[in-house]
Amino acid sequence: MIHDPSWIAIFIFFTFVGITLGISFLAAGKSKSSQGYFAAHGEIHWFVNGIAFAGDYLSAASFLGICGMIAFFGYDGFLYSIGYLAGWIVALFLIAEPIKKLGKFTFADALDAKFNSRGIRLVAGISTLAVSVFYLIPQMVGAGVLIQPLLGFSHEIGVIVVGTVVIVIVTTAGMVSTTYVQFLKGSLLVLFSLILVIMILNKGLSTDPSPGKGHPIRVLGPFTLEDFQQGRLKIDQTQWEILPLEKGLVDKSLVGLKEPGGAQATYWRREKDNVTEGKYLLLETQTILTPAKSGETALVNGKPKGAGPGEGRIWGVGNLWKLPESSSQTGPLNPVQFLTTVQNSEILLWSSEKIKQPDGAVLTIFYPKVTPGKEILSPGNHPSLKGIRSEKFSDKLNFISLMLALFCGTASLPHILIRYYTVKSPQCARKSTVTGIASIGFFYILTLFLGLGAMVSGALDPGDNNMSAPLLAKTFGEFMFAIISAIAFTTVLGTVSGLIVAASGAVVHDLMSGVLGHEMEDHAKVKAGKVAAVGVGILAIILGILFQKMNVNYLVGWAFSIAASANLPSLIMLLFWKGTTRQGIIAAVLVGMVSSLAWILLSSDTFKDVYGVSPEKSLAPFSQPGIVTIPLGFITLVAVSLLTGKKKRAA
Amino acid sequence: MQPPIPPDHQEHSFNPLGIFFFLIYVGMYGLFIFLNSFMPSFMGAPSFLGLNRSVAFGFLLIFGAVFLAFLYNQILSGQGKGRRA
Repeated sequence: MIHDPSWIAIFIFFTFVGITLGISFLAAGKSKSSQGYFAAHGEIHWFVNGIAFAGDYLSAASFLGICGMIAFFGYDGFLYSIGYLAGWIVALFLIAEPIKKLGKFTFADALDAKFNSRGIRLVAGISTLAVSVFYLIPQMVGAGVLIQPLLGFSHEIGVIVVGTVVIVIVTTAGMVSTTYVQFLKGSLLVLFSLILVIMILNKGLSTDPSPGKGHPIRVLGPFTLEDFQQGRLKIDQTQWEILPLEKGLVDKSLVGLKEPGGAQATYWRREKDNVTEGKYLLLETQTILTPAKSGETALVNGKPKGAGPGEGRIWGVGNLWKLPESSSQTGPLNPVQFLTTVQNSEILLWSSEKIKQPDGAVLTIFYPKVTPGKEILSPGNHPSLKGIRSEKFSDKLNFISLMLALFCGTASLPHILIRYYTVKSPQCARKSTVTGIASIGFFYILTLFLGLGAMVSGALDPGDNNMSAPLLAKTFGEFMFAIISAIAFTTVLGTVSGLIVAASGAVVHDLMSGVLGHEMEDHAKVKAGKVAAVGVGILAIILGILFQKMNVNYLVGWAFSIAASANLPSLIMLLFWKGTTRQGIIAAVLVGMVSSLAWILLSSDTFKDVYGVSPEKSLAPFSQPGIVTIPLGFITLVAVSLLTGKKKRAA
Repeated sequence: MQPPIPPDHQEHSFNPLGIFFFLIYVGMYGLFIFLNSFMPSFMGAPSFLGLNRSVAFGFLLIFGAVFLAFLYNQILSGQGKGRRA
């Protein structure tokens, strides 16, 4: 952790929380009926709903995850921006108006509009819960990530605070307060992201992003290859011993050195020297040694972890290594100049490598890699997408599958679909979708500049890519950091509120009323919705703590895959194929949901990041299931519908 | 056993213009995925305003989505006004 809480950040944070809670209490009177609680009486103006779409959709994944992914892996993060926006095309052209005509409160309403089937309500309700929970995890992880530097709380406390605030928002005024919180958040997010991008462009690019501040990276050399083969390097007139390293580290061009009389090893990244042909430089890395026993202090850069004298902390990273024509700074740039300059520069991108020590401690080495801008602005830098650069067709499937899931997932997300019930008419549903596409599209354009700006800001935390956007803001002063962090926090509140309303609607309206047949008075339905919201909120808190270490954007990719596989085939076929039957819908939702979930649980990413098992042992051939499970949902629906429809006709 | 959905339900549920625009966008998006997957060096080359093709095509997809959305709404709103008149 390289950030400290500040009073201005705390003040702005509590102001934002106060405003959102104030909106909730003010709106409480408008949500006493189930129609008000779950669908805001269908009286939200289409423009407000459109911006609320942006507020609902531009989640922690969009803001923190995409910016972090671009900051550390370049263009691959922007692929998510493109895919997330493309999904709205499905929503606008195929789903928006029909679903408004068909439904009332939940996604299941639309699926079940013509069948009145308990089976459809059951599977649609379960699917809504599954997607909502998978979507909730990254939001809560993002909340913990944010609150840590902002208020100095631990991740766990951060998640609990966010969960509690969201539960209060949802239980006071349901969809009414959720809509206005999302409207406020959507507007602020786009506005302040724009301001931040203007500041980035105005500052331009520099090989020393914060002169006089920060930690200039130490460079040793140049050395020849023969120097490295002699077992010792002459540095500052002294002989440093070269330590033998395991193959994994050697493959990453890492070199271990020991100073004369030094107690600990230091690690360096070997890079070709662009100035002297055939020579090499050694670039400084950073390390964290996490002890095997809890309670013992971790060592950061060889010193006990802490911010005091004699203690070690991770310093901010990420900067331009070389600008075009060997200049050191550019001055203000327009958007195209900014991108072409990055494209023609060389940048230090940071990665990490973990090594288990004989005593059980884990050494994490964060190391820089000189990377051409051309490579950074092309796909394939992220480990999960590197197959795109492979010659083998099978290696490219993960990328194709991800892009398919992003395209098909948006229009299948229950918390997005229920927003169509908050406006008066199908025309308003269409107009609000257009407003949403405009604001979301504009924001996604900004993400590329935010991510690249963070990449060369010298302020990145190499151990936490989710914090890239707030840390970028910090380079423009404490106030910007506080505002951006508070907006990002409101981002989490808005999205989580929407997800909890969707999940509680599924529990009460679909499962309790539709499946179990509990006839409830209107006020009892609202009460049950609030109890369900508390339950889902508590579950979200627990999962947010358990999944702390995962990139929030990647987790959202999973939610999209499940939504696209379970919900989209039924929704599309219901609208476009006359032969769709009740059994076909039930089978498609079940098969899509179970297959995508099973695929994810058996994928190499889950093995590595969740189970802590070697990814080679995974059973799924690639991580993103969409390319298999979305068509499987469609095939299942058609096959079962043909079979059951034929039986009926024969009878 | 439930009968298939009555035909009139599908007839009211989609708009041919929406399908047409959807197919245009699917074509663009599919081409983007294909080129990035199978012709990465082509996508890495500079194109419009010096931006490489991956970045330029990405922007085209975002601006294209916004443009089609506005056009779609404009046409349908115009049709709605025409019917009311």
